[in-house]
Amino acid sequence: MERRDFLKHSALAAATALASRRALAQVPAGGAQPPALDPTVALRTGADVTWDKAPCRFCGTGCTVQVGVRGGRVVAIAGDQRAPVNQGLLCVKGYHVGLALYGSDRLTRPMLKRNGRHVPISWEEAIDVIARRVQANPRGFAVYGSGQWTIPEGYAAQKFMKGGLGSNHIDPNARLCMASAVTGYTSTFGVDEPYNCFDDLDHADVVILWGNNMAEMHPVLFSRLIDRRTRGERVTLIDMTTRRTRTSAFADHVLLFKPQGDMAIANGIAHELLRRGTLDRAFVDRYCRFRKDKATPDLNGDAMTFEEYSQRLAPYTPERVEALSGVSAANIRMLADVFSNRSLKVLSLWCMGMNQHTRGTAINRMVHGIHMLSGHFGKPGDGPQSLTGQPSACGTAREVGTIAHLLPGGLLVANPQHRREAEEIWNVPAGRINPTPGYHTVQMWKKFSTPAREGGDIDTIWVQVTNPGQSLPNLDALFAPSRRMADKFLIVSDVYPTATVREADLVLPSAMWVEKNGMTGNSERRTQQWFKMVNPPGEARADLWQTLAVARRLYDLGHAGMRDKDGQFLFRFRDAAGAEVPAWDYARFHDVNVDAQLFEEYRRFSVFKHKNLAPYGEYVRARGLRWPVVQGADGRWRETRYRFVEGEDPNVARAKGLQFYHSTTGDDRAQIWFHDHENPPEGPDAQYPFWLCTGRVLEHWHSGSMTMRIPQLRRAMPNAYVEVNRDDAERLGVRDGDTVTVETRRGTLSLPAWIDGRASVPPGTLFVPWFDERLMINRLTLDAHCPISKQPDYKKCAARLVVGAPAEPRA
Amino acid sequence: MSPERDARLLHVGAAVAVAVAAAGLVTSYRAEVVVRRPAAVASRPGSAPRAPTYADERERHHANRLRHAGNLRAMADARPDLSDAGAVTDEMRALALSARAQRRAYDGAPPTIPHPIAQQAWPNCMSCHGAGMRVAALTAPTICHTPMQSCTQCHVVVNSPIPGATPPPLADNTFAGLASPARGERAWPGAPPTIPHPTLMRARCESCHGELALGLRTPHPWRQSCTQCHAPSAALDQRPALAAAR
Repeated sequence: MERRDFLKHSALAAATALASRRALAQVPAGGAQPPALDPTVALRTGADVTWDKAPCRFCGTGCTVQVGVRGGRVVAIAGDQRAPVNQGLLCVKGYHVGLALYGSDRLTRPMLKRNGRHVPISWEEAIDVIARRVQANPRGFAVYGSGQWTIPEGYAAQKFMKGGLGSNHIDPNARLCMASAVTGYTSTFGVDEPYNCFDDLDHADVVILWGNNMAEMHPVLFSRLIDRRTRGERVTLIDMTTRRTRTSAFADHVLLFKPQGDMAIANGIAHELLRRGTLDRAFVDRYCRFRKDKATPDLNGDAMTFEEYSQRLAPYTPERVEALSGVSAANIRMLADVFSNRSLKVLSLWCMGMNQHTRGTAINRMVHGIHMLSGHFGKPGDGPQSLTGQPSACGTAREVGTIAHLLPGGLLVANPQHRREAEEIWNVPAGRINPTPGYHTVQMWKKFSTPAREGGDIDTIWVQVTNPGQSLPNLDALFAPSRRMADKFLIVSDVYPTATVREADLVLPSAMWVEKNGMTGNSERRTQQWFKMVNPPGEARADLWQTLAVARRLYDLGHAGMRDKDGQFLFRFRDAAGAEVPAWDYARFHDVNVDAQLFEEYRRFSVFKHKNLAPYGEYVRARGLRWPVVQGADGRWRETRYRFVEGEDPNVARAKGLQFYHSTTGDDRAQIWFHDHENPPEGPDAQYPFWLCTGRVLEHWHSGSMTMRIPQLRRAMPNAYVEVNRDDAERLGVRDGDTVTVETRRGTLSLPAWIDGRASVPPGTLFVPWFDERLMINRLTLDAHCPISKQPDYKKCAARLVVGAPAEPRA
Repeated sequence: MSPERDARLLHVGAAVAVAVAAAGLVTSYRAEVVVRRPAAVASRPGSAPRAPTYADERERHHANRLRHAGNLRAMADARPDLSDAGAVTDEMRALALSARAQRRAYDGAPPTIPHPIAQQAWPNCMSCHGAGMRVAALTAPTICHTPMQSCTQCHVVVNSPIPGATPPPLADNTFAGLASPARGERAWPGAPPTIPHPTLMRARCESCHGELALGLRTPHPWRQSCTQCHAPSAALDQRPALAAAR
């Protein structure tokens, strides 16, 4: 070919290429110059990522996420479109939950404190250290667990303590979170946990938030509710709150009330219902009884007549309630209008505002009460519902009963019949279970921080899946003293070096979330299951294995409690062929599904209080099932949306309408309680003129041990702050961003002031979030607690504000 | 075979190629002329009276606080003509993908917000992100999913909103997120590419591929019904999981 021809052909080729490129709008694959492969874009196909379901690691909503795994690591997260709870959507924490596994300071080796320093030791040695401490003084040993324990983890710890050691000194952090909801439900309906479910969010006409910043704390539930407006539905939101929050921005009515004013408001509504005669007399006559506190408040109280109930409510006129609560009489009447209107579906929601309350049990009862008094109860969208903050506060703490006075399935240690049932299922000798409830959380830590000679009879605490060194109230009294006592030994199983881990004598590195099998139960009674998807880092091992290993070591050391009445080890696992698998040996731990076998045993407890659970395999298939899950005649397992409701709950007899079949009065009725308004134990005075409230923010979950290690969340909310009212700030000469010092009778803390930031506090109020381990507000909070639930009040104490940082160095 | 015959064949072949090329050229230009017409159809706001947005309201009251002299409506209307879509170069594409990656923990994560936001007011995100607009050098993309009310549920700011304090250093995290996908597959050169990413929460293609987008812009932004030609993937959308037992 000649040069001329070559040029001609080249020109032709170029023209052709240009023409086809324009025509087809692409670079032909076989072109002379293939486009350079973008090095930042790794080739990805659908096939190289495996997806599987898991409930989100964070809050009690229990969203199902799809976890994308490639090469043994979590690489992506998606909302699960099949999940009834979240319907494909997540919140910012949920979308970033996969990153919680990969903070670079994960704990990877067991460590023992020697001469003030953490020194790596072997697992064998670590397990031996725990077993020998328990052996030496089993009565001085306590387990402090968590609403983040999986169900099998909590069940193993529960059986180890109550069925093995015969000790009831096991309590969960859930005591700080939903204990008042438990006592509220138990003393009203005779059995714990919401009777209703999240379906209410799709049906309610009016939603009343009782001190609940739902937009930040339960974002997925909030959008499930509020996005109905986008679809043209009318949803009236009444935000009763002590500060104006992101939730308030969506509300039709924002009712700012004085701390503890909720008690007066509830009474004001009840008063108006009686005065107007708009109570639902038929409902009350058929389904309710009335009750009041004894002189010393307890779970049962005393019966009262309707007449007495009416008389006690008589003083709570809207005007008096206005004076007590700060909510105008007109707005109290507006609330009464809502409850008086039987054609509206009214949903009350609450979380920490009503639970972290020195009369937490009372206010829980009162909100149930006004719903029953007005007949706004038992229909979808129409009723009172408590939300929870931890992924398995319901599933593990409440249902497995890892609480000082409970046995699994809602049974009580104090009840001889209940102890017999448990001893039979556990096959342990009669009398193994201790009839006296153990120490509740505040008591447990007080005893741990008190010298033995002064009655501090707890000398060893094993903490799993929680961070009490940051989350307990009044830290300098409940937590710090023990750290200076030579005979007090703190064992902590965790995944990151938290405030608690740093103070621990023995540190056990744990597996988290999809690094192990698990099951959790959310706040609408939904039990969920997931499988292990990736390996834990280094030598980290599942908390469940840690418990089994200590139990086995004690068995080997000859501890009688680790044997059942046939002399066999308490925890036995079998493979498909029926051969025993020593799961306490870590090399064999993954040879059987330990979760499935423990769950099948635990499930036997679920029938006593009609909290029936389905076989493990049903949960593998489902995106969670709401108990009671009962097998129908066709062999299918059916969940229950509404308990106590005929046609929904299989335990309700025909023609009953509603049947409270665990009624404390034994007549299928629920209790409407009366409580007077009460002032909190500490409030503003001349010395400490401010209210101090604490809480969470959208970006961080609890103590931030996971979310503060996720760059996207930490960037958005990197440190704690104090919300100060604009007028207060002006008066005190505080400008936005100035460092100020918050002081209470228990401690001081310096941090930046934020005026009209994430929320706006009313005059005389301060708010500090508690996620920041470098700015620990719980050194300032009060450990006063509800007399019945023993849940402390983190929401109100007296404080003062000092401009600038204190002169002395900060602790 | 003689060289003459060879050359003749080559010339015939070349002539055919030129004819095809010319036809292609004509076709391509004609296609553009034809499809320019639908661009005149009002496919964006403006055809119906607009209620004032929250941003409009705020502007009315605090006009002096705004850096931009014009109002949002003018900015919203000042958008590139649909037919102005020039060629997207590989460099533009790489730049767009790396900008995407910077704002996401993994492909599919909700992007972080690169500008300050009001911390507690009703989110007025849709004023800019509803139809999308250019704001000075920035592009506010059209929302990529069905609008929801509580935007901050999923989207958080990049820079600390807390005044005063110097944010502490970020904790190290070794998470390596899924990268953006490679280009979609084509059955043959010229076939419409398949959608290489999940469509969950990404159903409004114009957010990333519309006329405001630069590096990932479609060459035919006037087309509205994308899935007419571009197939999503059941595997990426996790639809097999729906049919299977779990």
